[in-house]
Amino acid sequence: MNELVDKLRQGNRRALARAMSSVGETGHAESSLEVCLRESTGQVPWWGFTGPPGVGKSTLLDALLVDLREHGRRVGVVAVDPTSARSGGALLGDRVRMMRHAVDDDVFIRSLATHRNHGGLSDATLHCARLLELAGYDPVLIETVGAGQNEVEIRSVADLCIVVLGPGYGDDIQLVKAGLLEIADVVVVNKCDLPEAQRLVGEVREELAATAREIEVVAIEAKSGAGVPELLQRLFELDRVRRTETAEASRGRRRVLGEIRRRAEFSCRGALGRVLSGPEVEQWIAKLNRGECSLETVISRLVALALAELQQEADDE
Amino acid sequence: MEARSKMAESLQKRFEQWKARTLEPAIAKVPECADRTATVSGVPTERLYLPEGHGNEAAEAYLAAQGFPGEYPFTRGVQPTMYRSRFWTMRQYAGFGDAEETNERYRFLLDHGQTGLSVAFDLPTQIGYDSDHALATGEVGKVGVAIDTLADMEILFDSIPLEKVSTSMTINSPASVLLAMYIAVGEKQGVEAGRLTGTIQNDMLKEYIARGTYIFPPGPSLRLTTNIFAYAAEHLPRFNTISVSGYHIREAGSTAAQEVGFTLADGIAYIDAALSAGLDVDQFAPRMSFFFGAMTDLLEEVAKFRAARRLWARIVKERFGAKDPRSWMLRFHTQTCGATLTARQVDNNVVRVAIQALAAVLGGTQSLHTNSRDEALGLPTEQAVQLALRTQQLIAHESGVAHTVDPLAGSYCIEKLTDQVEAEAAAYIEKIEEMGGMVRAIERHYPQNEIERSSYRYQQQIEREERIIVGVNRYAAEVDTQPEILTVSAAATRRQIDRLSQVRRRRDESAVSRTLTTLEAAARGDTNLMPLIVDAVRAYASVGEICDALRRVFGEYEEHTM
Amino acid sequence: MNAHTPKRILIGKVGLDGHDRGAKFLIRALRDAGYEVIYTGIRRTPEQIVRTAIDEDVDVIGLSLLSGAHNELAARVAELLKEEGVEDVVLLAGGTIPEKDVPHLEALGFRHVFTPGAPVSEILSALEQELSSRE
Repeated sequence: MNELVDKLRQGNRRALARAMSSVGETGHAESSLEVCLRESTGQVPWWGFTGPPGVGKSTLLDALLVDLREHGRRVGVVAVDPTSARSGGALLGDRVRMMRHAVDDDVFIRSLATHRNHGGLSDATLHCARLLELAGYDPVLIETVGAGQNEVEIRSVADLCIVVLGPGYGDDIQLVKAGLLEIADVVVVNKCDLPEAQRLVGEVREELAATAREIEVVAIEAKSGAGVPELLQRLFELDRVRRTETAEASRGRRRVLGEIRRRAEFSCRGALGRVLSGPEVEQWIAKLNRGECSLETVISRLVALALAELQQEADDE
Repeated sequence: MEARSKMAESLQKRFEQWKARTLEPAIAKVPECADRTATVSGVPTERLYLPEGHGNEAAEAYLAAQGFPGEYPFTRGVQPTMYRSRFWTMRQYAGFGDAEETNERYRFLLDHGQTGLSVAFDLPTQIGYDSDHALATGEVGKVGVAIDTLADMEILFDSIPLEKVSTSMTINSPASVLLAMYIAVGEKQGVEAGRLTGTIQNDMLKEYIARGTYIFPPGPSLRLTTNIFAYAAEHLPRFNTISVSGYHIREAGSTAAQEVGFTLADGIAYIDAALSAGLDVDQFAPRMSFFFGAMTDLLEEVAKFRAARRLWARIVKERFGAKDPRSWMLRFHTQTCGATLTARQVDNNVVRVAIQALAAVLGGTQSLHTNSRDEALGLPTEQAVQLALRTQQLIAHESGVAHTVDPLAGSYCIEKLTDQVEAEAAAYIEKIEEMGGMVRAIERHYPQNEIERSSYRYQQQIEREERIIVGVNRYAAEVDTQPEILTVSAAATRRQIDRLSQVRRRRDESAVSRTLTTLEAAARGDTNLMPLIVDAVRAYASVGEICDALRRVFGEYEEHTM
Repeated sequence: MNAHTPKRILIGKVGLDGHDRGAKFLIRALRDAGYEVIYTGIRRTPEQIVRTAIDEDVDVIGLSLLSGAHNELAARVAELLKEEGVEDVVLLAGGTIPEKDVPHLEALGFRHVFTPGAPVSEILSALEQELSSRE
């Protein structure tokens, strides 16, 4: 174990890449590596980037990398893309927009698929982000799948949540914005050379004003890099504020709690899903239709069944 | 040609008018050839077949949709006699290795009946890198001729009289530099710029959409493009300064309607650019030419070419208000589609190319390049190139299709397909207009995504055997014979790099740096860069040096899509 | 790494050629066949390709070579992989590569060389074969 940590600290890229691949399927016993990693977290800021597909997140990261490098930082990137439910494969297409950093020794980019987790993060995301920290990358940027409600997962893991929006998504933008604005520390509107983007900036500012939260909306044009240095300054500021407000330990604790919540909710959803497609449901619905019980009873019984299943799993270990 | 008693009265009248105002002057200038007036059996071939036995209403419909060749809307062709007077230009794209080898190939082709030259450049030249640049490793002279300085260009055209030969250069991002070199070579031969004829492709929009050999971002690219337009309007009146290309869009997997729609939308963007640069549409639209591919589905291809002519004529006349009929004419070069050629059973490619070439001729192309059979595997051998040229000559002299204008007109199938392709293409153009024009559409990846979808669908069809490619997914042979492939010698690369060093040693360095400094400064402003590029080229500044000066000002384009 | 975890493939376009129609189709076909695919985009150097392959810890590298510079560029990629001590990655190549150059590429370590028109099914089964023989 110490050998690996040493290699990481020495900048051995192969060791880092290999260690990233070593995360197994979520097991209940933890490897000593995981334990070691968990102890080291909290020191380095993790910035999460989310938003609808096609809005320019990767292009933004590419521009941020340029600026961060100019500030002399070593940057780690974890870019997550969705696993195809049908084939189990994935097109990991974020890195293609960051290729100019491919041979920079002070940048490490890792592409991940969400695998069986249908949310916006991969189980491997935390593992990889921690490894990047251990290997001396600071900050760690995490780009997630922009796919509806699931972006909110990034909130539990990242210190700063940057929501990226852009013009041209029609009416769906309303639905998307509703969920996203709640988790944002900063909102970025890309393609600000287009008039629709200017309008979007106004719309978002209005919505945020209504919630009485002090969230800034930054307009950028990622391809040319316009507005990105200013965004970076804002991120540094927010980071400073966060550091003074919360101790490192509690940041680390927050991440662990976030991971627990994420995986626990996933387990619960799974168990409940199985119960709801099982034979008991029909029996209970039949009872309900005969007037033998109330809807509330049905619900509480089914939930209890799901919890019992999870209890059984825990006992079996 | 005798009047037909069965033709509708209104059609007869218009026919007489066409004869008097368009046909007769054309014949007076370029008479028809005696050997193109009958079938092989001796049956006289009419110059133009027209609908007979229909009433005036049908005649009106015919006149609106098709009209007469050489007259708006040019559905039936841009010249009244088409190939009866002069065949299409048989222009085979060539270039490989260094300028000497290419010069030899050009003299071979000219001696064997080719009527115009077409230059292919290697990738480093196309992307503005000198042959000794790190990124040029392994690429020098591979897909075309390597040109670093004017010295190479002089060798390329050694013993080739520029006032007699028309040259088409497939060059885009550094088109200004290569055009400047062509002008300088002309000067050395004593041919003044005004007498030079030819084309430069100079179509940057399709690079972003489909071909990928861009250097600078779209804004500066369009600036260089319009600089060339303006310069040529004054100094190169006989040179076509743009070949708006659909070929690469088709090769990337688009449909026929997309090929027409996106290409004409590019054309619209170029006219817009020229207008904003202060040119008048009639000053420069007549010099625009187009470049399409020819696929193997013959019926759709013929319809496609006719639809493109009609649609473009309407756009230039109605949308841009051009008055000069030559502005309305869509003149085009065609290349048979390389993407259809297979590496297996290469002889099948000869047949594919023949069908594709026939489609282009039946579609009324002005010039044609036919691919060689071994093109899927590398650069073609001399025998393969010769056969490709013979394919055109056979169609011209033995098939009889050149003896009448627009022979497939009136076919129910062809006319319907023509209407359909036109309607679909027009819908694409409108969509792009709604987005704010082609540059905006490219930034949003609209044409790229559309092409990718079509391409994917097509490939899926092949994988699933819903579409058969002979010799590949059906009728494949157990044993396949490999043709002889031409290879580029490593010695040629060495020679190229040595020559570049030599030129650098011999030239006047202070002149070079002076011209480059002036160019870089001007690039920051908005003056026309062409005269300054010509100066730099005369001083033997290299393609890479000139492009680097511009890179310092314009930056480089980074592709941002998958 | 669990046997159910998908294999990771890097499709790299090395050299100045800008045609990516084939590569773009292939990456989708690979995704549909259950692989995790990383695509480099066009105009990449051998250095960029090798570094990406290492950082992403891929199982397979597929080079797309369409400009005729395949011998030089494929050799450079193989050389760099050797320098970095990467020995267990499956190397594949595809493009306008004449038969007579195939032995040279195979000698460099490329397990299969595909010419234009090779059906995707052929590429997929070759891939499967290579990967299963390594398990």
